[in-house]
Amino acid sequence: MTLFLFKVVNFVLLVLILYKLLKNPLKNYLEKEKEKIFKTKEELELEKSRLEQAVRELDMKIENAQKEAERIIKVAEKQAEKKKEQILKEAEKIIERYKEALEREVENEIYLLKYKLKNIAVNEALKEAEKVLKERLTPEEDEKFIKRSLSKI
Amino acid sequence: MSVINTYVKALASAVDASEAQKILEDLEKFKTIFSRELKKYLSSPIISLEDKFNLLEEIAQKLSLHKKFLNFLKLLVKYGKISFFEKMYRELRDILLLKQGKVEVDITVAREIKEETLNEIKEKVRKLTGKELIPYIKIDPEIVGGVYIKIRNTICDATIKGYLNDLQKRILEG
Repeated sequence: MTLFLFKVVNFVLLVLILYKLLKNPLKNYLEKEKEKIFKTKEELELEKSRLEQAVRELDMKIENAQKEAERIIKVAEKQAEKKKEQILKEAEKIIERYKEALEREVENEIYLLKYKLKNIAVNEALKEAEKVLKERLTPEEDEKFIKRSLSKI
Repeated sequence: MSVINTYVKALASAVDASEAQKILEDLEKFKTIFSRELKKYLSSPIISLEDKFNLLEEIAQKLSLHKKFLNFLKLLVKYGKISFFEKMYRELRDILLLKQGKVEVDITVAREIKEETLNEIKEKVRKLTGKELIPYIKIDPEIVGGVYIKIRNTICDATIKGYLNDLQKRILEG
């Protein structure tokens, strides 16, 4: 019983001595560890907020890129529309010019045909006149014609 | 044509009226012997000028050509213009005739005409040119009627055919 009591007293004394000896270093150590943890936590939180900021910026950039892409598409569409109108106008002009040239060609062709017809008609008429004159012009009439011509020279 | 005229005028200016008839005769004589072979020989660049001149001298002697005409031929040979001789012939002939106060006239009619009418034509042309005429009368039914007169390069078309052609032109242009 005495031994048991001695062991208990001994143990309590050991505990007290250990407590006395280790209290401050342990406390300091724990304080330090606590501080480290806080610091790491703060850093992690800072990192987290930085990452969140980066994510937000990235989202913003994506959004901006989408907006820019949409704007470019709209501009391109407008330009394409403008170009289309321009091409159509040019095509209309070309058609107009071609039409005019065609009309002129047709007019020329008609004029040429008229001239050819006139030529044929005149040629035929004059050939006929020549034939008639060859048959009917008497030597006396010819001499009269010569004399009249001579007076005009 | 101007090259031809230069040579023709050069000879014409060197010939006076008294020599014109002789040169004219020489011109006719030389024309009759101016064959293709002779033309080729006188134009050939292989044959020397001396040989060509010798041949011309020989021809001149045989045909009794006037010295001025011979010199004219030599000039044409020297300057490589002998190939134009045929083209010069008519012009030279006309000028030599003019020197003698004569002019050649081509008169074309459609049929035989009275002497009186022909004389009227000749008289009219004589008055117009002031020269003695050498007329060449030609009958060509194609002109239908009237008269066609050609004096050197001048043409007077008083034919019915010409009148019809003129009428055709006026109708088509009008």
